[in-house]
Amino acid sequence: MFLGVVIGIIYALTGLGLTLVFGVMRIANFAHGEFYMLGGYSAYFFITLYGLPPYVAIPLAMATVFLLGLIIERTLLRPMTRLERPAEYAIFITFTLRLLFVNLAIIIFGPFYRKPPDFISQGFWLLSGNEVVALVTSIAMIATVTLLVGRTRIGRNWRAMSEDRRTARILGVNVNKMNSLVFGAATALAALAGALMGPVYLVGPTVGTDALLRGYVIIAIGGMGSIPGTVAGGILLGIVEGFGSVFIAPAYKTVYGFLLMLIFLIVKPTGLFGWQE
Amino acid sequence: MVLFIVLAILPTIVSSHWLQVLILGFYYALMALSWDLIMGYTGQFSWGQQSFAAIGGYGSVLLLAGLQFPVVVGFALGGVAAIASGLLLGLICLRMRGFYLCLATWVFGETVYTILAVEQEITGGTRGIFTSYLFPGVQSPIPYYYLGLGLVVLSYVTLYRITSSRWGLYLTAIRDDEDAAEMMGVNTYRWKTFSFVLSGFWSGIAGVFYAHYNGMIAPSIGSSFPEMALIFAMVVLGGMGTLVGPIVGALVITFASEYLRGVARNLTMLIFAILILAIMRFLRGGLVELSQKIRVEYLSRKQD
Repeated sequence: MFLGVVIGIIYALTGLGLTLVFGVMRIANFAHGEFYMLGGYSAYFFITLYGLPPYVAIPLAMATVFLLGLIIERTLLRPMTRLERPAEYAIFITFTLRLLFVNLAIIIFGPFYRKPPDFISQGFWLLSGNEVVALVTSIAMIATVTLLVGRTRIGRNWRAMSEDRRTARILGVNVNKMNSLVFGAATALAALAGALMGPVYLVGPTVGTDALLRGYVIIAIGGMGSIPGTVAGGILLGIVEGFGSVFIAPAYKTVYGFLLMLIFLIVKPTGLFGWQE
Repeated sequence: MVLFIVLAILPTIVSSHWLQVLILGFYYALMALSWDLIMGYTGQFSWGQQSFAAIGGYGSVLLLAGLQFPVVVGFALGGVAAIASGLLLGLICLRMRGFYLCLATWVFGETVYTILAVEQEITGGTRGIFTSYLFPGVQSPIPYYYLGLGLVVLSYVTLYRITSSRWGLYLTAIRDDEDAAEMMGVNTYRWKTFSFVLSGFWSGIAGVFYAHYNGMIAPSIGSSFPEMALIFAMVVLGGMGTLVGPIVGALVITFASEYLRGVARNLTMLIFAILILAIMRFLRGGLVELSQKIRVEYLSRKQD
């Protein structure tokens, strides 16, 4: 049960970026999981190839993916605002991006898993050292993001855009720049999650898919575009997965999350904390 | 039209190997066609298409194994199973719009795959189950080829009749503006479900065909990302929202995959991905649009 909560908080990190992008840009980023994967790989290579200590490698990985996210937003997503059905276009493009990244990763990195070295070998109570690091970092990051969104000017711009995009632009918000920033931030968060979970779940070309699914389940439960919702969703998912695995069957682990999500989608589509569109 | 005539006479000139490739192409053509019905014509996001094939295929295989009917009955059984799941999916999900629908159908697909893979005793897990061939004892792929071709033609004709009829108008109305359609009196819920059921049926048939052509079925045909990505790629490449487009796209991609078999499979998918990005950016209508443009160019040049 406790483990469920812990895992849940770490999961929430994945959902965070997704929720930000959805709230501010109003698009569903299907490639989010791939940034998670790329983050994991980047951190892995920074650590093993260059011998950098984790606390340098991980932020570096985040920065790399952040840049990548910016580039993608600029080239592929920017034109979407001029089309008739942006949401549809975004789904297709991000889906194709998934295809691109997964195959690219298989070609460049090889179709097998790698294990980055542990962060801390010493365990703590029920958790392994890695999980502790991941947990602490997740909490710190969630807090940071909440502060960012709540207190800074950028955060205020984002919130304005998520409420009423056009008015925000009229009021002087540089919508394009904010778009780029939020997308980059989201990808960086995904990368962080990927890097953190590397030693636990291993790094491979396909890890992005699971991360993506988890992320979407979480924000569907918790409410798209809401940060406390994401955290709540993450924790809920962690608990449900844990219970299901223990009491029913571990093989169906992912299905429990799905069922939960489906229930929410049918009964309360806006999730726990979301607002009406 | 021309395409079908060409395809019909191909077995006389082409080698057996390529015929098998084409048969695979037919399977995907059916899948792409049925997905385009939901996506291109009705404008609904359905990311679970491949699960219809899996349900149809497994339905037929399992029920046949249990009840010992001849294989032909399998088609009916698989078809019924697929229709049922189309209905089910429609019931659950079609109250949702756009993105949420996406999620729900995707999750449905994943769940089906997980169930198939996990329930080892019933479904044989990831190893798959062996089943009887459609034409037992026949070595050459030719009968399968014609059956596959026949199925594609049949589905094309049926869908053509439906989409050019008033029903088709309902569907495209839903795609263009669901609320307006609802207001004009189109029962969007019913028609969306209809497109799901119809689409599911053809995908299920495709699945049954595939299973009895190969003599086995495995969860991999229902595996969410790779299969769905292929279907998606084929439809976009060929031209979404047309009926010819998906067929063309399916055949082209199946051919290309086979041709480039020497090169890594992943590289080909990568190239497709880039290609699709380019298409979505610059040429929304895919190959069909391209050919139309070329034809227009050609005609206007002739007049000069």
